[in-house]
Amino acid sequence: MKNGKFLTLAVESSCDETSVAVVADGREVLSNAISTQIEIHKEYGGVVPEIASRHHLMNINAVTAQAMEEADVDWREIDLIGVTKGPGLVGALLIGIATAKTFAFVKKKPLVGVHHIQGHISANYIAHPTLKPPFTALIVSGGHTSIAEVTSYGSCKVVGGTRDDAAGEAYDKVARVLGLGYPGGPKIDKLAKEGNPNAVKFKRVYLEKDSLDFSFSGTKTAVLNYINSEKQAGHEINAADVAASFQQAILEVIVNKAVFAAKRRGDDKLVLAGGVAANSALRAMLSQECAESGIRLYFPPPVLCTDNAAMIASAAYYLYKAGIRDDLSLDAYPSLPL
Amino acid sequence: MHILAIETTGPKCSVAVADADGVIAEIENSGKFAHLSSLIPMVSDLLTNCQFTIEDVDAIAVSAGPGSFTGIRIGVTTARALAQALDIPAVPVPTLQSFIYEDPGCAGVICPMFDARRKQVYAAAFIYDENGDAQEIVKGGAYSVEDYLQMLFAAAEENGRKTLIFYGDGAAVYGEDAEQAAAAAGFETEIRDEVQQAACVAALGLEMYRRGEAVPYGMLEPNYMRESEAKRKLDLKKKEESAMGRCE
Repeated sequence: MKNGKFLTLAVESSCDETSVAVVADGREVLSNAISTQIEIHKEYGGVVPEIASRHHLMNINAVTAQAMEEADVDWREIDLIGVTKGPGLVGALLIGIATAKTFAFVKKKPLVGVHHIQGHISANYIAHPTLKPPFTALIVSGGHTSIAEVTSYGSCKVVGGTRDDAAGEAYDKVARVLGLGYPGGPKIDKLAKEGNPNAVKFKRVYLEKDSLDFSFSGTKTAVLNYINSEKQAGHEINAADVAASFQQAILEVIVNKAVFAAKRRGDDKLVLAGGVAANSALRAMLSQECAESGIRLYFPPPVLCTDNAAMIASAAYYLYKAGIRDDLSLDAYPSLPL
Repeated sequence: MHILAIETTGPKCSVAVADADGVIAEIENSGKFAHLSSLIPMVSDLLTNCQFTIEDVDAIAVSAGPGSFTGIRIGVTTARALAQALDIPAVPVPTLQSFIYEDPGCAGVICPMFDARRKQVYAAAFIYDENGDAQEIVKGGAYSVEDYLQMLFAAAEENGRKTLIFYGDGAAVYGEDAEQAAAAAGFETEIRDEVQQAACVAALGLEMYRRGEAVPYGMLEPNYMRESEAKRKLDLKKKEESAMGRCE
């Protein structure tokens, strides 16, 4: 406790960001130190798990020291330790988990393991101090595309998910074929601004009626086939048009399904979460659809959209308040369901 | 003075404590692939058994590799966090060398050999000299089984040793090959069903600590002895590209 506030220290290392944060009362960020490996993995065209794990190990202690220093707290003031327990890269996750467990053991603090996606949803509690469940959440990140009904701080139910590729994987693949490099999301989003989203009509996959599930591999394949056939016919490809049209096809489906899910439940709140929540076209389309449907849209600022430990601290705090604890045998869960 | 030792690089997870007189206790968990979930509870149990607390520990000795990459990371990460949280130093113990404490003073050659897959082993060889000091006669590294055995035979010959004693999970996989090759080269062999363990890490850690080889947590590094596959391929590609560039 510090100044009457409950302090959570949390650790996140599920992919290529090493982050440690200190958050007061689940909402107020005292520090959110993030060490990113994006530049390291660019050379490989994607995150290499073994290399990510090696860097997490070397970074995590300095990131912890930085988070403690920036928050200006000492260990006696920390009340709870939170950590991402999954899903993610197992070798990366275990660095955070081994570190968090050790701190919990040595400093005799309670420990709570957090689902990474629940963390992304909780980023909105930090960004919007009055936001409370229940609401519908749309989670879009490199590895996840899901719609969830958030019933309380500690629990949520997934009502729709991807049946094949996550949106982020489709973005990465298309970006690679267009020669844009990695990571694909921001590159395509940027180039799409210069293109015509209606230039090429790529197929939208809605699956069966009223389904909240996604399938992006068909759209991805359609783009790849288009590029191949244009190349074979000797036509020059307008990369900006392809990027804009691809993005339009993907986002239209995501936005329509998310707004449909909220309306069906009678929710007047839709919460956007995950790394792709920073995508400008997604935000614009979703804002417009929500405004037309009388739904209030919430999304976090870009720094809370990337993987970060502040969101994990917020989620851990609310889980702890709901009576949830983990013991020191906490393991890593690379494919943990929400 | 207490040193807490951690061993997670091999098939068994173990923890041990040494005081100024040597190793006083060890716990081992033979459950495979449970190192992450077992390690801290085992440390807690060990300290309870010894009737002292984590605050009584003066240094952490950790088996730093080679071995399973994941295992190395669990141990080294935990050791770094312990050293950071307790504000104490840590000793990076070379895993292969820890085997000198399996049989102190023995007359044969101590040959730890870990399976590194792709027909390779992480291996080294040690002997005790006339003063009772351990000497490394084959430098620790990642070798093909054949290369390692050739180096081992040459070094054993040079030092006048007749018996080769193999340890580690590589001995279980390549022990028969080693036995046959050693017999043909005129050596006797023993295959010991022993893998790396925390008691040996504690013993070597204590010795290194006394020699002043403990480091602050930020300088405690794993010793994988091998680059990641992706890095190896990328380096190879770059090398080929630059070689091509030179030809042009």
